[in-house]
Amino acid sequence: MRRIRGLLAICLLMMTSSSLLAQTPTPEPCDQPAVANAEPSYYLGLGDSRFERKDYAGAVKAYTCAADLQPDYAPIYVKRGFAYAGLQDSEAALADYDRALQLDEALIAAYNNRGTLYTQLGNFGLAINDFELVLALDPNNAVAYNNRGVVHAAEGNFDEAIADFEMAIELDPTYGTPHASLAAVYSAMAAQNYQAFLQVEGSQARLPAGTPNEVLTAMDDSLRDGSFAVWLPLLTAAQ
Amino acid sequence: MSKRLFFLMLFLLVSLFSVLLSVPVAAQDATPTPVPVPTATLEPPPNCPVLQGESQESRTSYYMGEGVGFMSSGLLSDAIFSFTCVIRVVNEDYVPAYMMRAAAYVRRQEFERAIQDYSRATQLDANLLGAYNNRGIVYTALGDYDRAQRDFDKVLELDADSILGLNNRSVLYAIRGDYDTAIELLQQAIDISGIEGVYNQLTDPQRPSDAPAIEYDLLNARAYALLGVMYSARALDNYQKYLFLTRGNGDARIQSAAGALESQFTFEMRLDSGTWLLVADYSLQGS
Repeated sequence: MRRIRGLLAICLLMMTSSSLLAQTPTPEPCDQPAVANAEPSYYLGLGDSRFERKDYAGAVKAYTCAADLQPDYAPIYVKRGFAYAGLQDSEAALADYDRALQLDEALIAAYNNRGTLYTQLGNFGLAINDFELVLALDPNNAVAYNNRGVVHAAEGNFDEAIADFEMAIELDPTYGTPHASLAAVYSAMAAQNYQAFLQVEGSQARLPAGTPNEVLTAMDDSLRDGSFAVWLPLLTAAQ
Repeated sequence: MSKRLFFLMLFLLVSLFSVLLSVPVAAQDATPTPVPVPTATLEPPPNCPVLQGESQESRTSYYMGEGVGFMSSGLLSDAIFSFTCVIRVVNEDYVPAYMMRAAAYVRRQEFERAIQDYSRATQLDANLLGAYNNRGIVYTALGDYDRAQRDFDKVLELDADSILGLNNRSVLYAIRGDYDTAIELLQQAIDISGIEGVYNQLTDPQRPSDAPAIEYDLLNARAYALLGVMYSARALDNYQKYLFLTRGNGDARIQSAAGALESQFTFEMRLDSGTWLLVADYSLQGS
């Protein structure tokens, strides 16, 4: 069970955070802007373009240039923190999120990203706190509901997770991730119940509707063609 | 058309095209010329939400930085989107956005759109040398030598001592078969840049081994390379005349030399130096 939860947590976290590639940041001088009279936001844009192609070290460098020019602008630290997270430098990422919140205690992105990082680090209590702070600031924040649901799921609190994912979907039907999160939770619950079946029937017992993968494939077909055959092997006749 | 002229033109055109595909370029001519309106300008403005509510300058800088970042990694569509955000949403009069977007269009071989942007840049800044120069290169690639000539002439009108302008104008003269003027312009470029003096100093046998290094712009040395091309073309022309007059009974060594030179124009020089004949200008110096 613990292993299933662990896998579920990894699966859900991958949905809510960007993929992480280890790169080593190297301190370099700021690139000369290609345009005259560039504002600090030039480096934000440069950093974003690098982040988008997963050049996290390059993004950190550009964001640092922006921060040097505009040290009191909180969103820079959120972006750089996220890039540090991409570099798997949790310490630097947390420092940047904290710095951002020192500058702007109502910065939702900072709470959200810090909560995501805490989740990745297994600090579920701190993560829940951050997502709840987001919801205090913005009660209709679908992302925060999804992310809090992920933490609940990682902790094995599937009912609370489902409630959060459903709320996220209700708040923003165009937001795809909570659908995937919900599917992952139901997969975990399915695995839990298959294990219960085997405990009752014995480890060599044959599942009535086939292996979990076979059932999933059959369910997929059933949704497409309206067939209900997949359910029939699960009927139990009276003796 | 003589064989020599044919090969020279082939070489120059291929080189021109290579330059256009490898580097960004830049602008409008002295006489505004009608250019096709890209359908992009008829499309609704893109969604550019970043830094909404911030100043125009801040948003412009953001999207320029983003676009430059995408350009440097070869993500041209993304770069074009960023520059279009500046042009369509933030500040439609921001010249560098047109210049950078045109450069991206050139790299995508969307020459008409590039011309459109360079033209807009020159409308906004009539003294933007780089825009005329780069548009001249695009026109040359399209085979529109008249418009290209007007653009290169405009470059020299804005700055009679522009080495870039002299070199590029010279190449265009060569493409059109006027080697005398081409060579004259290259000699002018050499005189203006003072590169001959640099060469003489560096090759002076009396120059001490610990003499301080001389700093000079490598662009200035390009005129010598171009001169080499022009003189080679002339050499080939003379070889061909000799071979024609001797009707196959000429000296085999001359035949060999002519063949080698011809081969250079069709293969070696085209392949090895295909990116150095015309040079784009990315600086945004104007009025």
